[in-house]
Amino acid sequence: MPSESSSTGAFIQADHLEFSYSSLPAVVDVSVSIPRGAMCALIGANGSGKSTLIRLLGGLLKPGSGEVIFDGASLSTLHPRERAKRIAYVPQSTSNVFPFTALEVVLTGRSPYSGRFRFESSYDEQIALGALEALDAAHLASRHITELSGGERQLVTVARALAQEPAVLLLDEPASALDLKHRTQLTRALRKLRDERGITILMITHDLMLLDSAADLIFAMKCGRVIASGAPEVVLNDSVLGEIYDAPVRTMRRDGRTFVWSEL
Amino acid sequence: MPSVQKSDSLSESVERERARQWGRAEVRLRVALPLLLIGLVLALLIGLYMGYQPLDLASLRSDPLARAVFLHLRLPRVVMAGLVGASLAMAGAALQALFRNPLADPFTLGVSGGASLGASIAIAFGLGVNFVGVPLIFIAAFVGAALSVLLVYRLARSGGGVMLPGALLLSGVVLNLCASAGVLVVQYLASYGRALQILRWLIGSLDVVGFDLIWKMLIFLLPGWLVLIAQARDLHLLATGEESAASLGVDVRRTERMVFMASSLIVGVTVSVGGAIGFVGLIVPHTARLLFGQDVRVLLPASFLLGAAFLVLADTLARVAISPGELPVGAITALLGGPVFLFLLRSQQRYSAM
Repeated sequence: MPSESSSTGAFIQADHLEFSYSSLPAVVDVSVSIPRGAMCALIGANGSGKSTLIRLLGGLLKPGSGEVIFDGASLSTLHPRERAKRIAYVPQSTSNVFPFTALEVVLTGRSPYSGRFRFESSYDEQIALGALEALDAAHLASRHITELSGGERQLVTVARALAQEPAVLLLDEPASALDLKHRTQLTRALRKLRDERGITILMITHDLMLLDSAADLIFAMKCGRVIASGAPEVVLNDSVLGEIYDAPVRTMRRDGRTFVWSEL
Repeated sequence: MPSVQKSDSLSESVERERARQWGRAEVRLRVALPLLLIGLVLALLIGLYMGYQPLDLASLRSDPLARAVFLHLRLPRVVMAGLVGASLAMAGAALQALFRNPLADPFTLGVSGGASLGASIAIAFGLGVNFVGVPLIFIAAFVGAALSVLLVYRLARSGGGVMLPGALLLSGVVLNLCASAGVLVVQYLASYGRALQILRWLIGSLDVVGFDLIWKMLIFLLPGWLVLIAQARDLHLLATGEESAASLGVDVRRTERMVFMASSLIVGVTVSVGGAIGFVGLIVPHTARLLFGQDVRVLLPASFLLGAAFLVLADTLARVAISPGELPVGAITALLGGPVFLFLLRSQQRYSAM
């Protein structure tokens, strides 16, 4: 349902967002715009406000001031269940207290589509299994999440988000517990989702090396502000990275890729 | 292809299909409800048959005294046991999902302690009497339960709003201790007669004459049950994580408020009638999980029926074990529940996750 106005401009737009925990400011005057179908990365040091910003963009937190415009309308006017059909959010951690099966967890992603007293249909089941397959995780379907490794559990959480059939996927460090193989696999899967289904993606990551090939746009945060944004070759340089990490960071471009390391 | 192998793969695929069907929560609920209903009916029949004197259908028909005893004493008592068991079990299942803590239960969270204190204060002030037909003690116990649930919830949340499972149970335990100290103080300060009344009440009993009290309880219990059942889906989503539930459109704070109110109501009313009956809200949901899986939408109705059957049987045992004397049913549930719980903890290590 792309509206005319947003096909030219931003799909998600943040206007002067502010948010504080008690009196501690976490996000300060942030304005960003994310085009439809773009794959974006949010980088920054720990505590720079990335998770808060992504929650604001996902409608999980209400901004203290400013607003989020989603597909041409204010996000706050969208009913949470309607929002859940369009925007999926993958949190950093999920509960693994009860031994649900992976499929049961992924099926909860279908709940925005069914009524309070309805169980999932076999169609929902197909979607859920398809979401696991898209991440090469179909073999996990009947395993208990309490028995999975941290990385496998992250894949299940991403699969749940895919089961929501969203237009926007927000991910808070989805690859933090993944090994190199699975991290590459996940990044490839996300890129495929963008290319084949036109899903708009924003993910928080500390993996700067993968960004050239994985991100169309990068937003760099420091102390609650977005201090730089743009294509990878614009943002990934010594001065921007040095500033956001407050450390001597060196970058080198070679074969169209950026290599990043820090001087000890 | 040898035919043996063929039939092997056929039975294998039948097996797989059966596993796939059982993987569906809807199928499990459809199996669970009739099975548990049959179990409950059997439990009720056993409870009605056994007692100081086993039921004799012939004398029931001919002897008006026997009929009166049956209708005014044994039948209401068995029904009462069922109501209390169903309520405590379902409240336990809901609180476990809400707090994402398998060891949560009206007793471990200190909710029943708060209810006891509220009820004791009401008795000490002579408020055990009716107020427009409703025992004020219900309301006092409900207020006590609600206050303790809120207190435990506040204490268990860190500054960042994260639920700390260890802090949750510790706050519950400490709250229980404080509440029982409070009850002691109330008893000490109250007049002799009322202190005795509090003591008798604290021991608790499912003994009831006629259906009058049961109707009054139902006025409170029915809405509480319905609210919990209506929250089943949101509780199911919450059990998989608070942030995920919120991102799926669950209004987490609203769900918490509804479940707090409903379970305080249920626990307050059952505690103010039956006294301290522990472990029902802990073992029954776990048994239901072992039988019918983790889905909270299955778990709530299953715990309700299983809890009713469980307490009817436990109460029957309490009545006949040392007949003509009678054991407190809370002692039976604790004696049965303790070992069962420890066994669960041992055989299913994952349930021990704090």
